[in-house]
Amino acid sequence: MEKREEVMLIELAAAGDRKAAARLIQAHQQSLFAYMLRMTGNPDIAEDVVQDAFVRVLKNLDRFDPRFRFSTWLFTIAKRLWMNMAAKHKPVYDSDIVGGRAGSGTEPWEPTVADEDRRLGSDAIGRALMELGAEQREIVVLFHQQEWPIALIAEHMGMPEGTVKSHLHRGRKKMRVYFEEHESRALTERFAREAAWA
Amino acid sequence: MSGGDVNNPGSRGELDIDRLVDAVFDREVPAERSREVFEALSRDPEAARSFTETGRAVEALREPVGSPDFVAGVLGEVGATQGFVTAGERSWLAGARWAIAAAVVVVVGVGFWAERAFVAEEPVPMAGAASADVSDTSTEMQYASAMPVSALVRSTPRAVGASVERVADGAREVRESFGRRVLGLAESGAAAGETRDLFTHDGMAADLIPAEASVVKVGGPVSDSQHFGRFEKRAGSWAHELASAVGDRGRAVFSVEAIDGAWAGRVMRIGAEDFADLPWAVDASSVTGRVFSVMGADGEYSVRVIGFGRESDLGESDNRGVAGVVLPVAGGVVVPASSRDDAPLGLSR
Repeated sequence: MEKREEVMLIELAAAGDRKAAARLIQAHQQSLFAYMLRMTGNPDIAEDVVQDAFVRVLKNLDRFDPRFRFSTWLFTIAKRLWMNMAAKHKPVYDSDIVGGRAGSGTEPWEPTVADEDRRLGSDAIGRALMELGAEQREIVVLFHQQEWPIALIAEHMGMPEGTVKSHLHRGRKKMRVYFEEHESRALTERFAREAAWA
Repeated sequence: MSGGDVNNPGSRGELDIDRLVDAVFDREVPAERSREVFEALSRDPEAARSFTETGRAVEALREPVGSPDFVAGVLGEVGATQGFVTAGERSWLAGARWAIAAAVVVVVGVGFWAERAFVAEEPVPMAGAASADVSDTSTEMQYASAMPVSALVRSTPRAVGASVERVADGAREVRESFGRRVLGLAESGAAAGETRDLFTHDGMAADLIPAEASVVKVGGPVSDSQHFGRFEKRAGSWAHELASAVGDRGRAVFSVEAIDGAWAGRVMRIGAEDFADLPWAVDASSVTGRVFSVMGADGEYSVRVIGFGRESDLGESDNRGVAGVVLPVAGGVVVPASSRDDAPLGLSR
C-alpha cells in the first residue's frame, strides 16, 4: 500500500469510516501476525496480541503522526502489548497447569514433550527462533521476515545501527545452528515413529 | 577473521568468508559480485555449508504464515467498547478540557493573589485541597498528553498558602524543602490511584499498578508542544530520554520535580536536557517512571503528570516496558510561571 493511500485510509478511519479501518487491518494483519507469531512462538498469544493492537490503534488513529510509518507504530504497540502480557504471565507452577499439559496419548507414560514436538515438529524455524533472546529474535524477524531496513530497525529498537547489525549477525548464526538441530531432531523422531509403526 | 570492506576484498589481500556471508544476507553485496562470492565459497566447504544452511533458515523464516482475519473481531470490539472517536469529537473534548483547566487556573491564580494580599501566612490544613481518586484518574488520564488534569484540583482557596507541613509523613523530604510560594499541595496519597492503560505515541504502559505518594511541582508558560519522556534501564542503570516530541518541538520553559513517597528519598529526575530554562538540576536516582505533559499556549499554566511504576523485566536489554501509575496534578504542587522557589530537598539549582 502506498503511503498516500495509507494516510488517506488513516484519516478516513479516524473519522469513523469502518471500511477504511477494515482496509487498514487487511493491509497489515498478515505481516503483524507473522511478526507476533515469531516473537511469541505461540499462535494463540499472537492472535490475542494482534487483535488487541489493532483495537488500540483504531481507537487512537487521530493521534497518529503521519510523519512516522504506520506499520512501525503498529508493530511497536503490538510489541508493548506482548511485553506487558509476558510480564503479567510469569511462569506458574501449579499442579493444575501441569495436568493441563499432560501428554495426549492413551498411555500415561507417553511423554508430554513428544506431543509438543509433534505439534511443533514442522516448525523448526519457529523453535529455532525461540532459542534466541527476545532482542536478537526481533531483529532477525524484522530484517529477514519483514524486510525492514537496518536503519528502521535501529529506530524501532532504540539502538545504534551497528548494534543492530551485531545482533543480527549473531542471531542469524544461532538461528542457523538451532534450525539444523530442530530439523534433524524432527526428522529423527519422524523416522522413529515410522519405524515403530512398521 | 580479518575485517575489511566486503565489496573490496582485494584491499586486504584476503576475503573474510564470514563477513562476506553476513554481507550477502545483509543484502549488501551487489549482484555483480555474486559470482565472486560463490567462487570464494566454493573454496571453503565449511563456509559453503554454513551459507547454505543459513539460507535455508532464512527462507524458512520468510515462508508465509497463515493469518486469521482480524477485521470482524477488531471492528466488533472497537464498536462494542467505544466506537470510533472521530477527530472532531476528540477535538471538542480537548477544547472542553482546556476550558475547564483554564477556569481552574484562573481560580487558583485569584486564590493565590487573595492569599498573598489578605491572608496571614498561617499553615492551612490541606485536607480537601486537592483530590483525585481512582475514578478521576481512570476516566481522565487515558490520554495524558492531551489532558488538562489541573481540572482535578479542587477547593483551591484552601490550598492557597498551604504549608508544606501538611504533606504526609511519607514524603518528609518534600515537607522540609518546599518554599512558601507553593499554591497548592495535596496530602500524600491524595493522588494515589490506579489508572487504566496509558497510550502514548510510541507505545503504552498497560496494566498499571498503584503508587502511594507523590509530590509534583508544576507550572510555567510553555510552548505549544507536547513531550513524552521515558525512563529506561540500560546496562543496569536508569536513564531518561525524550522518546518523542509532538507538535512544533518547542521547548517547555519550566520543569517538574517529583519525589515518590513510596520510595522515600529517591528523587525522580526529569532530564534537564529536555527542558530549557530548567529551574532546578535534580540528582538522578533509581526510580522508574514516565513523564507526561500537557501544555497550553504561551503564558498559560500547564500541567505535567508523573507516573510511577515498575519495569517489566524481560531479560537481556529488552527492558523498556514500564507499567506505571499516573498521578494527576491533584497530588502535586502548583506554582506560578515566574516561580523560582527554593528547590525541594535533594535537588539543587
